[in-house]
Amino acid sequence: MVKHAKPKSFYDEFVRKGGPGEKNTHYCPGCGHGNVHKLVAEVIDELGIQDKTVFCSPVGCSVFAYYYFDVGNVQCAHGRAPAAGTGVTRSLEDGIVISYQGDGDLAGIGMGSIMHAANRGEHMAVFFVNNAIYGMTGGQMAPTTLVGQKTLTSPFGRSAGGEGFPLTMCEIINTLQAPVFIERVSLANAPRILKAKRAIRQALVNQVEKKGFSFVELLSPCPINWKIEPVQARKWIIDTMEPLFPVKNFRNLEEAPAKYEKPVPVSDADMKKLFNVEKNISVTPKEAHIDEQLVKLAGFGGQGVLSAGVLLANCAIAEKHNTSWLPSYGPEMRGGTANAGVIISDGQIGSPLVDNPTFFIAMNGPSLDSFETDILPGGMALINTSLIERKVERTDIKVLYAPLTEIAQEAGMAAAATVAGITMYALATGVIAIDTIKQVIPLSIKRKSLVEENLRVVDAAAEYFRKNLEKG
Amino acid sequence: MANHVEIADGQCKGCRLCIENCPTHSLVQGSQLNKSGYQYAKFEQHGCTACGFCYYMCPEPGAITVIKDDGKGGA
Ligand SMILES: Cc1ncc(C[n+]2csc(CCOP(=O)(O)OP(=O)(O)O)c2C)c(N)n1
Ligand code: SF4
Ligand code: SF4
Ligand code: SF4
Repeated sequence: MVKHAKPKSFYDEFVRKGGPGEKNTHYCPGCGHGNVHKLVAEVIDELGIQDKTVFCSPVGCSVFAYYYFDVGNVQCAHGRAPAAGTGVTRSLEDGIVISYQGDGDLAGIGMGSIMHAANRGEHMAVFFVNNAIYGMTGGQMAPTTLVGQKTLTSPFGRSAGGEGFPLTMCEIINTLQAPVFIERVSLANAPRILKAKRAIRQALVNQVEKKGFSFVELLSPCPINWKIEPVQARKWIIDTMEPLFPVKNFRNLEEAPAKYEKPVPVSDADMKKLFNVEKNISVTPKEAHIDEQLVKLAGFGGQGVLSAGVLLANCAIAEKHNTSWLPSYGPEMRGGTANAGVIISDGQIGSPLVDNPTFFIAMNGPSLDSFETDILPGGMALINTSLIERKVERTDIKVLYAPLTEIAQEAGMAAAATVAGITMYALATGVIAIDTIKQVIPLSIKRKSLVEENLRVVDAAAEYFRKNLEKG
Repeated sequence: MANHVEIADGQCKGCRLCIENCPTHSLVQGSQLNKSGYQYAKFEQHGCTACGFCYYMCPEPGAITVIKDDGKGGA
């Protein structure tokens, strides 16, 4: 009777990039990664979870875990397996997620990633292969390299003063509340390896039972870079690593201290509440299809350019068009220059950037100077003559001149000059009805006392447009 | 057939971990090289108990198979 044989969760043949199928791994003789792979594969077999396991492999010698494990695989950016695993575990409700990482990957470049995943108690089993060195890159010092240990980058031995002390990850993770299971094991000899298997099994059972974040650190040899024979390397684990990295269970909770609750999608009604757009307004949707409108409004900060853009976008949404709004301003929201790009379309909007507007509203001189050359040939420009003295030089666009600031001032609110601009845009293009603007203004202006003034500005701007610009 | 171990010659990397950890000294390193250039391990019956130590020490997925005597006289 076969008692121990190659686990079924391994592929029968390991087909490597560009090469023929092989039966053995790419690991050096005596490397601990092979032992851990075997234990993990055995437990996957025993628990019958091959079909729902997703193995997140690191950057390091075990980067090619997907050559070996016949399960779901994600090869993650260096140190980010716990982050990738978070995405997998949260979206794959029945999934069993494994984050497999080396010490450089987990405790070096990926320190932030593991700490936050652990702190959130993500549902995953982390197998942390600590070989006290960067294996893949040829034996550089790792965060877990021992004081005095010679590596390529600590040729005289790691000095605590210069390079710090080795990081003991189980102890660090054990300061967090969320994890349910934390254990350090060793691959030094057969009894220890059998103990390691029990820890791996517990970590994976915890995933089957949806218990939560489980962390197993495995003290593992890298004979090649430690520059000792495989058999001696296992002894070195006992003599040198285990005194600093005690092999023991740190935590085994029955239940996670906090439970993850899958967010419920926000209802349309709640979404409207959140964005303060509960009130429905009645607009008659236009039959005619509009060409894509690329509108840019530019002026100085405080002129209301950004909020006028929001007003225009909201009007377009009310009329059931697709819309985007993208503000652009310097570090000084007031005082500097500001512009907003609004795209109105009946098709899908790819990028919200408005580099070449079909309609440009210049509220002040510097804005006209900056953007005049960008306007699409055949497009339109609306120039606020209250603040801009010069004429537009382009001859391939249609230009409307109007004293927007003065119109707004006479209607009782100079600060609403941009609203006058939006009104004229609506009339010049016919994309938005004036009635829509008047219905949207009360919804988007928080101070009710200002609603009347704004509505008067709309009327005044409309009147000016009809008198002076309509025929032009 | 008694407890025994089968070694897949081509998958062995000659690391000696199985040999050093076998409680019954039932494994030895052979003198021949496999196609990868490793002096692969060989099984020599010295009272193998099918304990599996060699299997767990071996880093290669399929190099070692442990067979336990099931009293039926077959493998
Ligand atoms: C962003 C990035 N930085 C650095 C590297 C180089 N690099 C590859 S593996 C590695 C460290 C591997 O060490 P460890 O995580 O301990 O795994 P091991 O190889 O020892 O199993 C480094 C620094 C990289 N591939 N990508
Ligand atoms: S370099 Fe070290 S960690 Fe990498 S495969 Fe070789 S022994 Fe294993
Ligand atoms: S199963 Fe045990 S006794 Fe038999 S060869 Fe392997 S280690 Fe030795
Ligand atoms: S442990 Fe495996 S790879 Fe190492 S000598 Fe034994 S059979 Fe060969």
